[in-house]
Amino acid sequence: MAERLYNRLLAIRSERGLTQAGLAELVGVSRKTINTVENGIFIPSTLLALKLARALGRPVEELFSLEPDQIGD
Amino acid sequence: MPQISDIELADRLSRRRARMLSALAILFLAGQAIYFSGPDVPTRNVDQLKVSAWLVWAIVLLVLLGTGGGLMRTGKVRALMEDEPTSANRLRAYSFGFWSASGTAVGLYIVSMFEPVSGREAIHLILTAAVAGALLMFGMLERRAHRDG
Amino acid sequence: MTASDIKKAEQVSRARSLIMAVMAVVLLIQGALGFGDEATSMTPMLRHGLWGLTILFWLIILATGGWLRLRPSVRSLINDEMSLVNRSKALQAGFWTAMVLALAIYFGSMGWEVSLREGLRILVDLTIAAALLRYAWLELR
Repeated sequence: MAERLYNRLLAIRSERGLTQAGLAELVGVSRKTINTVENGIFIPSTLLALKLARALGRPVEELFSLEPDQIGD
Repeated sequence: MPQISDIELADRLSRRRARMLSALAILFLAGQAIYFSGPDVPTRNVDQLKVSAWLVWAIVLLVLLGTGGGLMRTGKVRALMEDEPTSANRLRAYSFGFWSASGTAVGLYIVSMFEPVSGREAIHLILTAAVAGALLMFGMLERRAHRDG
Repeated sequence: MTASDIKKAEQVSRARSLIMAVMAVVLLIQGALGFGDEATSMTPMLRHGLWGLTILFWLIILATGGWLRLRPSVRSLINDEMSLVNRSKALQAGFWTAMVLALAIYFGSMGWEVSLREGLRILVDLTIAAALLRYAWLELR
C-alpha cells in the first residue's frame, strides 16, 4: 500500500498564474493550507482535494497521485 | 493604510501565534526554577502568590492551546486560523503533551524510590511538562507549516 | 493482504476495543480505591511494582496499538488510518483528563496533604482510563 501522496499543485497553480494566497482565496482556506499540501507536509481531506481540483479546473487525479511517475510531465 | 484581506490577516496572526506559543512554552519551562526555590507548602504570602501565578499561567496557556486564541477576531478569520493543518497539528501536540505527562509521571515514580518527592511537586512537574511539551510541539509544527518550499 | 487477514483484523480490532473498555473501568475503580488508605496484604514494593508494570503495559498499548505478535499484514489493518486518528483523539482525551485532574489535585493539595503515590495513582490511572475509553468508543461505534 502506497504511503505517500504526490501532488502537482505547485506546478498547476503556477501555470494558472496564481499565488498561494490567490488559490487559498478561491478555495476558501488559509494560505498555510495550500503551502502544507504543496510541500507534502499535510495530506488534504477528500473534501479539500476536490475543492482544490475544482478551483484549478482540473480532475483531482491530475493534482494528486499515489505514484510519482503518474503525475510527471 | 491599505486594508488586508482576511486570508492575509489570518496568515499573519497564525505565524505570530506559532512564534508566541513557542516562546511562552520556553518561558513557562524556564520560570519553573522560581517555584522550586521556595518551600513545598507555600506559607508566606509571596510563595502563595508564586503558586497562584503559576496556576493562572498554566490555565491561560491551556486555554490558548485549546482555543487557538484570536477570540476577538471575526468568525472568518478564526476559521482560517483553525484550518485543517492546524487541527491536525493540535492533535499531534496533544499526543506529545500526553506522552510528556506520562514520561514525567513514570520518571518521578522511579525517582521517588531514591529521593523523597511530594505529591504537589510531582503534579507541578507533570503539568508543566505536559503544557510546555504540547505548546512547543504545536508551535514547531505551525512554524514548519508556514515555511515555504 | 487476504480476505482472512481482513476478517482476522476485524476480530482483533473489536477484541482490542472491548479489552480496552474493560481495562479502563478497572483503572477507574483502581484509581478511586487507590486514594487514601493503602491497607492490603501485599507488600508495598510488590503492590507498587505491579501497578507500575500495569501502567507501562497500557502505555505501550496506546503507543503501538498492541498485538505486536500478529503478522504485519494484519497489524497494518488494525492500525489503519482511521485507527491512528482514533488513537490521536484518545490521547487528546487523556491529555485533557490529565490537565483537569492535575489542576484539581494541585488545588486540593492546598487543603490536605497528597502523597506522591496517591497523586500519581489518581492522575495516571484516570488519565489512561480516559484514553482507553475514548479509543474503545471511537473504534466500536
